[in-house]
Amino acid sequence: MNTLKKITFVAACAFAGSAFFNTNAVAQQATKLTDPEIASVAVTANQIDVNYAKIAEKKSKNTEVLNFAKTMARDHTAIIKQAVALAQKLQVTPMTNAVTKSLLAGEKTTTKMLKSKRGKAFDKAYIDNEVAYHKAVINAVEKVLIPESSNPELKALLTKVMPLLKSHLEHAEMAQKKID
Amino acid sequence: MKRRIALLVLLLSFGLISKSCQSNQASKNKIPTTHVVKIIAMKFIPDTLHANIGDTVVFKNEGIVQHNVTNDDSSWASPNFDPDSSWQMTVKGNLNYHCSIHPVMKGVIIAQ
Repeated sequence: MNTLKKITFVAACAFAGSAFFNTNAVAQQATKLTDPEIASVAVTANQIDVNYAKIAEKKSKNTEVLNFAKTMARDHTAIIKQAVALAQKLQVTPMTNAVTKSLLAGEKTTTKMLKSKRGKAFDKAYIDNEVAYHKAVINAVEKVLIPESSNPELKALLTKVMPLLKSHLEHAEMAQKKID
Repeated sequence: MKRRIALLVLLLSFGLISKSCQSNQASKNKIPTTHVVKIIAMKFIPDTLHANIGDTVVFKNEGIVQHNVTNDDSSWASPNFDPDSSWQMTVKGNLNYHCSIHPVMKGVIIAQ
């Protein structure tokens, strides 16, 4: 199974019907991701969650949602900085690829959906998306990005990020129960 | 006979009082210890710490993002501290705490 199909498969297992990956991208062919491509996917996936958090910080009035969004913006920004610093150290330039493009297409759809909602409907949509997004990203990092990364430092950073992503998922599920 | 019993009671009382004083002295003379709680992989390690009142607990952030130590009753919180930095406190009693940035991270200090 090629990389894009693998990622799409694990994402689909995590949440069928979500906009995490663009279905058109499935048709595209992809070989094993290179380290510059993995760096691009990692930075993009983190930036997308920072962008969702910024929308939540503007639109929500729910303390639970606002605290969660603040944590997402803070943590994912910190991870981006570390990923960029590592890429610079390794003299690797993140390279846009089909997976990155697919992530960005998913972001466009989700952003449109989030911006169309207000109040409790927005809070629920944002948190539900965060639960789904983190499940998908955890699967992709664990089953594709870590196994396919060649550089040991890149692999180590991705491995270190896993407990953080899992705690975000747990936090999102806590918030989800409180706002339901 | 009565005198002997009275003397025995007196001696026993003296012995108990003396032992109690020694015990109190020993407790007061305990040298405060420094304990380390590491923050690794989104966990406080150890998450349950037994310490004496007056001991110091150093929280070392060995993770990849900022954390803090917040009393569960929200009466106080440490500042957020960066990866590869630490924050310390003196044990004043039992404490249930968490990281307010990541509420799934929890810990307990049991004061002895």
